[in-house]
Amino acid sequence: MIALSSTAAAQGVRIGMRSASVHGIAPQVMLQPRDLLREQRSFDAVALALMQYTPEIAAIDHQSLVLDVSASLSLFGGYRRLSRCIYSSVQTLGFSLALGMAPTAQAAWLFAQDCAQQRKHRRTQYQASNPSNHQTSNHQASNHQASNHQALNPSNHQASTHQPSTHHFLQRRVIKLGAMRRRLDGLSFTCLPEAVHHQEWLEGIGCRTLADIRRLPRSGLKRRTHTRLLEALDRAYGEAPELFEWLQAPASFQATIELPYRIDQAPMLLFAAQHLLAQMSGWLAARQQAVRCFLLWLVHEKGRASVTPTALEVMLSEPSCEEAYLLRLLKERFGQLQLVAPVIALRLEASQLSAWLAPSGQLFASPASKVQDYHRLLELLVARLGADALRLPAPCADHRPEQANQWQVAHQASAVEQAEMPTAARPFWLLEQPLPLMVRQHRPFYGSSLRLLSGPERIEAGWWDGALALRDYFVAQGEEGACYWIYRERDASSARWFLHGLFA
Amino acid sequence: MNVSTPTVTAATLSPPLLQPLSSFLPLHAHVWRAGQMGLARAHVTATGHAALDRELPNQGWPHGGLIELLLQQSGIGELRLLQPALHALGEQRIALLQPPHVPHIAAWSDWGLSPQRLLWIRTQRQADALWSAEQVLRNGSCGALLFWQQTLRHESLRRLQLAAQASDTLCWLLRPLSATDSASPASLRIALRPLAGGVQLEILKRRGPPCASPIDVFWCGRDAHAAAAKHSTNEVSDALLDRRHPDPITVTGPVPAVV
Repeated sequence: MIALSSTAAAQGVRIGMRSASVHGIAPQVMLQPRDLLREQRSFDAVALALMQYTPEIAAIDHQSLVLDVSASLSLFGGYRRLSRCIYSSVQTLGFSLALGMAPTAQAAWLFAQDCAQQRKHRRTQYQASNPSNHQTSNHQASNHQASNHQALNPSNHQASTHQPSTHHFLQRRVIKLGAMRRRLDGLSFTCLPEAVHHQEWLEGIGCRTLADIRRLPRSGLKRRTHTRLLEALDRAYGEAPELFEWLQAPASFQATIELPYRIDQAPMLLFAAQHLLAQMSGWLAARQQAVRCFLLWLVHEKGRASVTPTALEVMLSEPSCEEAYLLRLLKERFGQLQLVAPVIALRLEASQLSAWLAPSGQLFASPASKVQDYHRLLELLVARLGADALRLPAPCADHRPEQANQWQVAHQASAVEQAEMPTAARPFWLLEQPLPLMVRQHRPFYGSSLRLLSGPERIEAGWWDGALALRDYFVAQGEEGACYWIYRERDASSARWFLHGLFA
Repeated sequence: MNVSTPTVTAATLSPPLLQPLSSFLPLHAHVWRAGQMGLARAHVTATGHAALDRELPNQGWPHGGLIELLLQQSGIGELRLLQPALHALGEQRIALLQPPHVPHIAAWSDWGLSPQRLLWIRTQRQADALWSAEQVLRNGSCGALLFWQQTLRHESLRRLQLAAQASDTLCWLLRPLSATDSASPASLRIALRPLAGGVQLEILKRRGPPCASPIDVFWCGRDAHAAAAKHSTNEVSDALLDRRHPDPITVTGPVPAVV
């Protein structure tokens, strides 16, 4: 037993037990075999998602990440906001974390370790005192199916000391070197894995905290334990340099998530898509790229009833790397999507990229930001209504009004050449199909008999493309005063009147 | 003693209470007396028609509020009425949501407006149309939204009004005249009826006293068809029509006196 949920802990299951004894204590407990590959994949996903906060991120062991955030503190508005951002990013991916922050990476890691230990301790105590109320804390463990990947300790490493802070949000976030040393002195030495090997001996000579160990003579300690213990202590107190091999973002982005159960309703896929988008935004930030087009593959059931994966292509008019915005677009797309078969996995690919241009800050809203907003509006509308719903004018140089009045689909918007517009009066509403008019007392009739005000304007065009128009246009007025644009066909044997437009 | 005290205080307090409220209280901008014109909360765009401006709070179309135009039928000069305001918006985009017919680009550019400012949104369902209206208002990149809708539930109207209040976009809702009878949360409601060479406006609701008489707005300029109509009713001569091709109508029957 490596990790367990709080419900299991309430029934007396403890870490380190064998599976047989677990079954003996609580037969209804479900055991999941540890999947190291999946663990590693999840860990990589977290690392990738956190790349949006700093490019300097390194893995200390298989469950701890260290981030150098000295350059990110002011960008993200201080350490508290940054911590909150990191918390929410990791929670989006479905993991819990313990966070520590200090001027040295080793100290930050120790704080995080301490945090995780105390949390574990607190949880078992709480469960012991109130075993009925386990529903509330159940979600603290990860949402992820493989629950053996429990405590993730991304810790923050801050190399330079600035920004003096008087009060600490949690005592595990320290900015100043002096405060960090005082705080380290009070930590239990069990946080340090190098010291745990010699736990009995150290406890035997009366050591409890790191300060107690540091008070011992160095040479004797080195002889009796290991040099690594001293090295770790020196690194934590800032007396020895620290070196890291920073993680590199892969050259192309592709992420997959396997769903815990089959999903047959598209909107329910959103939470899984959010995991993938969080990773993508981290990757985009690390590569200084913005995405123009991305593909979301919905993988259906395999085996006998296999269905080819559905591809959902999201094309952006302007490259973007904002997670919230991309999620909103996907939400609208999912709202319209009908699934052909239940989905078991999602795969996200960034197919078209372009260099990310940092927005230049301005005091007042500039026309450029309005243009960007407008593009976003178009995309959002297209995502829900479909590409066909939005039309932009694309006037065409033609004498026939129905030919000249062309509207193009918004996402194909190309540079439209300025067509020469007629100077005669034109109505604002054009009927899609000209409406044949009755003739009463030799006058065209539409609601009331119409009186011709001006005209004729003779339009004769289209002999070349088969849609010949031989028309005399008039502006006519009904008895109530509304003006109409009507025409008379000239090629017919008898006069035929049509209503073609309304003067709005 | 107990009886006399209240009578004394009433006697001393009654004269100022009887005075009009305005004599000692400056009114808040959101509060106005029934007899005077209210002040719009947000800024306005002038309508371009002096007669109409005089009758509107702050003399113009209010931004940040739903404006309801109730039309007897479409094509009675409703856009001609809005044209000066659309002109005043500069280069801002204008969204046409669910227009009743195809908008004619030539007419638009004829008014001196750039066609590139137009965005035509067509939706299949009413829920989509309302959602689009809300998105346009919330986004704020469009200067004006023109929304045609036949029937609307009161909750949808209220929601639209709240969305319009939160944004700076001019929002016109164009509905048929039959909606006059139903209540509406819109801050300004105007009924439009056709008129020869103009449009007759009846302000049904505004932040101010009821409008006594309808306002007649006449177009002036080149496409004032009414001016032509007043001068001659029989301007179109048959000779002009039959200049190139003999009109077949002459064969089938006598030439009408008035075409």
